[in-house]
Amino acid sequence: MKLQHMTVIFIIIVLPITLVLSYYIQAQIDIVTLRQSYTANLINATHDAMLAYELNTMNNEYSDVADSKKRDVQASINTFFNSFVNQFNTSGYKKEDIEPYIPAIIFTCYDGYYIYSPMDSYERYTYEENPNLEGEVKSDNKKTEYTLKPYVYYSARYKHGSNTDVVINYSLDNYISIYGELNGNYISEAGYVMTNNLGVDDDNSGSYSETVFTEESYLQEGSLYWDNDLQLYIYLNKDSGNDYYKISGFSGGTKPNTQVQKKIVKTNTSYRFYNIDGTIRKVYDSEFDNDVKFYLSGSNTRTYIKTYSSTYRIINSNYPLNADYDIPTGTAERNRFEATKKELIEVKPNDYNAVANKINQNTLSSLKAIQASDIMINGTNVSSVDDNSPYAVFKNDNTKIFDDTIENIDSNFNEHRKKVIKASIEQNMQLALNSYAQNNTSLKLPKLTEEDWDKILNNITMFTFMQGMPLKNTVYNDYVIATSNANKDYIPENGLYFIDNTNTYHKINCKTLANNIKNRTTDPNSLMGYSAVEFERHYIRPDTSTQQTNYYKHEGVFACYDCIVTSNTPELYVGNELNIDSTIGASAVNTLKQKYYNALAMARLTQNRATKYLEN
Amino acid sequence: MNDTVITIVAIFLAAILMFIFPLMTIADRNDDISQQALQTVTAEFGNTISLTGKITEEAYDAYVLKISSNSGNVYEVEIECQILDENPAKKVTQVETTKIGENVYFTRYTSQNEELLKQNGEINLKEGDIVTIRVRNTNKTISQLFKKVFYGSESDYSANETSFSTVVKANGQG
Repeated sequence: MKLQHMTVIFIIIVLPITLVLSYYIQAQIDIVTLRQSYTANLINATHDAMLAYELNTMNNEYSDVADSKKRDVQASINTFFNSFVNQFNTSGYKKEDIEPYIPAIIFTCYDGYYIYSPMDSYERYTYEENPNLEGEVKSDNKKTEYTLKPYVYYSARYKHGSNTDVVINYSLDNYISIYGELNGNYISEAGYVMTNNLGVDDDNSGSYSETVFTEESYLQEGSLYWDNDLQLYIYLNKDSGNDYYKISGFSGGTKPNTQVQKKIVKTNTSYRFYNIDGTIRKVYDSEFDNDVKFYLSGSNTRTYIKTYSSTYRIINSNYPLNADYDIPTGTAERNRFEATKKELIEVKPNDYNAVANKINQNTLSSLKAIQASDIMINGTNVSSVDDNSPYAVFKNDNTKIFDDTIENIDSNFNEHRKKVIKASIEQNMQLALNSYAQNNTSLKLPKLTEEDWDKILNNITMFTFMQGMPLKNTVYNDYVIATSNANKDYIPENGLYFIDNTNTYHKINCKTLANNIKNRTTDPNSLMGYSAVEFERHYIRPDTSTQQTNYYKHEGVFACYDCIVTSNTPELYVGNELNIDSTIGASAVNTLKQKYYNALAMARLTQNRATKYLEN
Repeated sequence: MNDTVITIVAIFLAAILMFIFPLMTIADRNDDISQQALQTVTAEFGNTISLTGKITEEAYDAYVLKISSNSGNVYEVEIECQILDENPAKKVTQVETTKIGENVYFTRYTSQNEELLKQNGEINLKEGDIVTIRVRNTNKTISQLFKKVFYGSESDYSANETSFSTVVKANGQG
C-alpha cells in the first residue's frame, strides 16, 4: 500500500473523529456558558427580591403586623419571578413557565420563616353543580398551586418531668417566647434571655429606702489622683482598713467634702458591675447633691465610695502631688497606696437590663432544668425519631440549654438555638420538596455548606432553589442564598453605627475612631449609636397633598472612609469580648462598650416583633 | 527524478496530515477546554465574593491554585475593587431632599488588594461595591507554538483570557 493511500485512509478516519470531538466540546462549552448565565440570573433575581423586601419594610410602619409582613414577603417573591423572567429577554418566559422549576423559596425572618412551594388543591362541588355532593372534593380535578405557606416559628416543644411542658420560640438573637406549663404553673412570656452569671443579686426595682441599710460608712476624705492614663484612683475607707480602688471611666471633681453625712439615696439608681478582688460586685451611682456617689452592694450593707462630680486637676507623673487633695505624700503611705490599689475592672455591662425586656429571672431559673433531649416531636420524645431526621441531632443530647453563659457566642443556648432553627428549616424544606417531587424520587435536597447555614442563622435571608430547568441536553440545578443588609426586623451585632462629634459615623471597632480618641479629637462620651438602617435613604410623604420627599434621617453626617466606605475593620468580637483597641485606655474602652451595648439594646427594642404584647 | 520529488512531497504531506494536523487540532481543543474551565472557576470565585462580601486569602489562594492545576498554564490574575462612596450623594441630598445625587466609585487595584490580603487575611466589601477579575495566561501553549511555527504568528495574545465583573450583594464585615 502506498504512503499516499495510507494517508488518505488515515484522514478519512481521523477527520470525522476530529469533527465530532470539536462539535462535542463546543456543545459542552455552550452548556457551561448557559449554566453560568442561569446562575447569574438566579443570583440577580434573588438579590432583587431581597432589595424589594428591604425597600418595602423600610417604609412600612406596619411591618410587624403579620398580614403586612406576609404581603411584603409575597411582593418580594413576585419580584424574584419578574426579575428572573425579564433576564431572559427574547425568550418570552413568563412566571408560569418558571414556577415548575422552583421547588421552594424559603424566606427566613427574625423568629420564623415562610416557604413558597407548590401544593395540590382540589375544587369542591358547589350546590349548583351537585346539591348532594356540595362541599365534597372533586377528586379528578386536582391542580397545583404555588402559595406562601403559613409562617413557621423557630420553635421546639420540651417536656421535662411531669410538670414542665413548654413550647419555646427562638429567634436570631437571645430573644425567646415561652408558652406552656413550667414547674406546674402556666406561663406565657417573651423577652431577652440574660443571665446574671456575674454572681450578683439582681434587683430589678432599682430603688432603696433607708430601712434596708444596716450599715453606712462614708469616706472621711477622698484622695484623687490622675495618672498618665487619666484614671481616677479613689481612696476607699473600708471598715477594717484602707484600700485604694481605681475606678476607670469617671470624669473629674473638686476637693472632697469631708463632712460625714447621712442621706437618703434617691430611687431609680443605675449601676455597673465591677470585678473587685475576684468577686463581682454591683456598684451603684446616684445623684447626691452635687456629688456622685458610688457604693458597693453587699447582702445588707452598703459601703460607699464617695466621688466627685466637678472638674479635677490632671496630675502627671512629674507634677508634684497636691496636698489639698490629701493624697498621701509620705513614701511609706505612697508605697502602701501603690501596693494596695486595686483596680475596679468593669465587667461586660448588662445594659440590656436598662432598656430591653428580659425574661423574668424566676422563669429563667425554672428553665435551667430543661435539656436538649427533652424535645418532643409529634407528641413523642426525640429519642424515637428516625436517625435520618434532622431532629436526630438531639437524641441523647443532655446539654442544659439555659446555663449561666447564655450571652456568650459559643454558649449551650446559642448552639442549641441554631440546631433547632436548622432542624426546623431542613424538615420543612424536605416536606416542600417531597410535595414538589411527587413521584420523582430522584430529586433531593442540596447539601448546604457551613457558610450557607452561617448566613441563614445570622441574617434575614431568602433562599431560592431551582431544579430541572432544561439546559440543552442536561438540566440545571442550583440554589442561591441572599442576605438582607438593612432591614428593621433584625439588627445584627455589627449593624450599629456611631456618630462622633465631628459628624462622622463609624463602627465601634473602627481604627480611625480609636486614633481620634487617642489624639483627643473625639470624645468617647459624645458617641451616639444608631442602627445601620437609619442611615439608609428613606422617603416620607409630609401630607396627602405634597409629593414624597427622599431624605437621610441623620442629616449632615457622613460615613467614615476607614470602617464604612472601605469596610476596613477587624472582627467585631474576639472570643466573647468586643474587639476594641485597648491602647485608647481602659476608661475609653469601657465607655465604648457601654455605648455599644446601650445602642444595641435600644435598636433591638425597636425591632419588629409579633410577640411584643407578651413582653413584661 | 519526478517520482522521487513526488515521493518526498507525499511523505511531507503525509507527515503533516497524519501528525501535525491532529496535534494542532487537539491542542486547539485543549485551549478551548482550558478557557472554559478558567471561565467557570473565575465565575464561581466571583459569585462567592458577591454573595459573601469578602475575599479571603484562603479562597484567593485556592482559586489561583485551581486555575493553574486545571490546565497546567501559568496565569496572571488581576483583581480590582471599585469601592462605592455614597457621601457625595448625601451631600447633594442635604441641600435638596428630592434629588438623588451621584455616588462615586474609587478603585483599589491588584497590588493594593494583595497587600491588604496579606496584611489582614481578608478583604471586606460592602453591598454596591464592584469587583472585577481579569485573568490571562502568560505562558505559550502548544497551540500557540504550532501557530507560531506554521503561520509565523508572533503576537502576544493570550490563548486563555477571561474577565468577570460583579456587584457585591452582601456586607462582608463579620
